[in-house]
Amino acid sequence: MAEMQVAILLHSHLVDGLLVQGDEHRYLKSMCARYGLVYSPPGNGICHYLHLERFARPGLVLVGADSHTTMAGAVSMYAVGAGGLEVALCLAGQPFSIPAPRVVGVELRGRLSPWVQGKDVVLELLRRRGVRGGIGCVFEFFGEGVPTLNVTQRGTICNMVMETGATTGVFPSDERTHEWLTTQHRAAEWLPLAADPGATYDEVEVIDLGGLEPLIARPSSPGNVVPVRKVAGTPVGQVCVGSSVNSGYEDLALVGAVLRGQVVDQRLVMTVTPGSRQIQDRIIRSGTYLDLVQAGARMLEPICGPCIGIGQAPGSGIVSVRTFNRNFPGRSGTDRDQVYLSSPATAAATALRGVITDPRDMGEEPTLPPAPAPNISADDQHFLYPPSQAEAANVKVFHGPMLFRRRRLLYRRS
Amino acid sequence: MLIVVGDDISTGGLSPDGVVVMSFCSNVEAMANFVFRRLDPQFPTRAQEWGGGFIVGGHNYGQGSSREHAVLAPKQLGVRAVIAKSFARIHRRNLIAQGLVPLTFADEADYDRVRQGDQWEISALHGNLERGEGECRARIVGAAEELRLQAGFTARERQILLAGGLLAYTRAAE
Repeated sequence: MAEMQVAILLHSHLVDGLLVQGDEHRYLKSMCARYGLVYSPPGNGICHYLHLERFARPGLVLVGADSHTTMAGAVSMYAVGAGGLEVALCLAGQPFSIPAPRVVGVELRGRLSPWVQGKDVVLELLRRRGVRGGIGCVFEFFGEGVPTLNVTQRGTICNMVMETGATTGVFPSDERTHEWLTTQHRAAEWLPLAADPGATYDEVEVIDLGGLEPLIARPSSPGNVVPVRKVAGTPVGQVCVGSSVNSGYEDLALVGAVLRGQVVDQRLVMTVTPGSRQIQDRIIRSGTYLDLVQAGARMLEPICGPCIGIGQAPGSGIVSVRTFNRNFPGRSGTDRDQVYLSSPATAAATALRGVITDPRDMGEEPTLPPAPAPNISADDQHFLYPPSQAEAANVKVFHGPMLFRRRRLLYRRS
Repeated sequence: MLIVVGDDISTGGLSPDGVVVMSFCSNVEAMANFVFRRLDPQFPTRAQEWGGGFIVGGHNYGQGSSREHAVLAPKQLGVRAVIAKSFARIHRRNLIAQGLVPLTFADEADYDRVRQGDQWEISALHGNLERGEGECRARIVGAAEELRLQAGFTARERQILLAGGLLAYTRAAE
């Protein structure tokens, strides 16, 4: 059995201020202290970005209580989503098992053209295979195109590859991984990992990165993918940039650079969400945050938020273009919603024009502002590490009245 | 048979996204009132009036998020098993973890024979699981033929189901 490391960070799903969420946060905070887990408070970021930045390590297995746990495959973790109870039992030392998946090798050739992004790579996989085409599979990426993708782009691909039904996706650990871990002050955790030379796969997909064009998933399935140009001109009432799949520093830096000095079309509302406090800190220092504010984007805190309909539910019949990973019916919080899923580049072009826009129509891709080094304490100083075992034994786990019913159901002896 | 739904039903169909429902995310009794809200708003009432039962789904039932509410809420309404053409991986495991049995049609064409309101009996299931048999039979009350269902489980999954769920299984193993 592989070495297993499990860390739990809270998924910043929820609206603060509702009585229920307040009680939940208190419960989780006390539970983490009592049982020896790292607690990341609301506002610190989406767990998948926090993992990539501060915890994920090449070569280990990660089991997480969220389907997009697969994102950590970007740094060569074997990262698998599971239900909360299975993860809790892993924490208690119980084994975790999954059926051995078929291995699909995805050979990446060439490099992405201007305005085409990591999101378009995973949308291409979804275009080819649909939402069932990865069931029982793990996607292993290899080939000369791999080093052209940075960890943010790899994270986008590994996150959303789950929408094919895949067990997970994995990139090799290479120089780009080393760069990422170095900027996170974790270079010592790097090790090189790649498929053996001449490795064979159950199946091989070849993607010519240079041949890809901007893609978009139409309502209401991530598998409903077409080229952006096919739906270009559709009037749009909302653009949302963010979620666990596309709120990395490079994602937001490009959107800021596209919007710089302009304002978003007045027919629509735009929101932008950084994936973590570290990313928020970095876009503030790079000037991106100000560019976005001045362009009229509504800046949200690092949160999952609109991706699961917690805020920004679009108006009835309004087309919403989102850089998110899911557009299942009603997921935005609105009945009969019309949600499209695109890259940040497509979202930014659409925000300026007010209609779905192929970003290649915007002229030359803008140069990004110089990227400031990540400030790792932006996340870290807010993590609460558990106290000593002696102190932990005295921590009382909080149970508010709003949590009672769930406990009774979950812990009832069958 | 409480409801027959189509292909690619996401866990958000069972446990809807949005501020209203998610504000109940620690209150399964309240959340159960929203199961299949967009597909069939009468489902929770019907499930309770009929004293629980089964759900039938198409391919890729339970795709998407790993949320356990998509099992806890139907369980609260008395759902005991889900019969589908195929399941999404995480949701299938969540069903097993809560002691709800995910079964598949041996013959996919049988999906078209299922009608909401039919009364099903899968009486030998416990024994089928104990003996590790990969198939069981469902009798539709009032119909002559039986449906063949696949009960494809690993040994551990069978034991979890027989124990009534993952927590009970873990307790019993200690």
